[in-house]
Amino acid sequence: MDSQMKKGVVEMALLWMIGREETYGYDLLGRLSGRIPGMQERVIYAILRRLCDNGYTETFSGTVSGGPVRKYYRLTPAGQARLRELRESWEALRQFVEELGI
Amino acid sequence: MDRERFLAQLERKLLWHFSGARTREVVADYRDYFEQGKADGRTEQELCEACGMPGEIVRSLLEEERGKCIPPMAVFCLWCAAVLCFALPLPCVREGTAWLTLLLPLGGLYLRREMPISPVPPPVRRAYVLGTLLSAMLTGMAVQWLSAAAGGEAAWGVPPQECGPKLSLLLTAARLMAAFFWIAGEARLRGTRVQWPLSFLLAGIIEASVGLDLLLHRLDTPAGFLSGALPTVLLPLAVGLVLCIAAAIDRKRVDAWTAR
Repeated sequence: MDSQMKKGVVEMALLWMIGREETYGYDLLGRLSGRIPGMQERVIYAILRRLCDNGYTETFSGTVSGGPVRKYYRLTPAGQARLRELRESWEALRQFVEELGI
Repeated sequence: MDRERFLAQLERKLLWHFSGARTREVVADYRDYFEQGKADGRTEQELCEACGMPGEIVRSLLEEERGKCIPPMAVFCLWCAAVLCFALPLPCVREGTAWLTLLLPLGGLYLRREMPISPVPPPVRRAYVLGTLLSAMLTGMAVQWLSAAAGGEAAWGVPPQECGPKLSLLLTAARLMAAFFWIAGEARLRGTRVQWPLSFLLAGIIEASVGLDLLLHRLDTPAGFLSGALPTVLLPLAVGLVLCIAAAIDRKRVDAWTAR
């Protein structure tokens, strides 16, 4: 699969996971790495940083049930809008592929 | 490779492209990654392999910056700097001191380490900077040629021994402006604010070099040295010295600012 396409999927997946629950970087990398062929952890990390730079996510320090302090990510309103946009594109693409019968 | 070596190498490579603050942020993220990975039962070796080489991490981060455009102000500033470099300080050309203006690009190289990230990937940036310099150099040469054609050769080609205090002052101002424009251009290119101490330091080094060179050329003419030549020699040296001291003092403030 084309690397730009993979990056788009990773971007959507990251926004979706962060939107469902506030989570930290290692958890996100762990859940995604190995699932998309040829997608290395450093690339996922770079995309995660870009999402933060673009204002789609924001970070805060937090702990869960007495664990260590970690940098957590949460979705911003701009991130929600971006996720909606990506999901619509993905849905259109999926329908087109299905129609072709690939 | 063990964790500390990996992180040290990553930090070194990041500093070539990113600000101190951003570098620390990325290194801290990777430190967390190692700690959490270790708690998860993975070895340092495994984690290093999963990350890839530090250079690859930097490349991935830079790739995500792709697509952002070059700020026009940066190109304008670099262009002005180059025109000033190539067109104005040429009274020194007969004595072979014009090459000293090449210190400006060297200063630019130094800034690569000191100033924050450029918003565009290095190949695009290099192409723009080289294009800017080339067009400015041609403009500078055209200015000289037009000046000579209009009978102004005496003004542009005067040797340093004959530079009066006024011309010397004008040239010092031109070199200071060139240094300022260069730093401003670099700052715009990197999406950060102008770092004055660096601008001063660069201008100071150039002024001190020009002053020293003129002084060496005057050693055989003590009479000329005393009759009106004194300010020509001492002015650039004095300005250079003062600016270098100012930069040395202010540098601490810059370090404090980047350490935040």
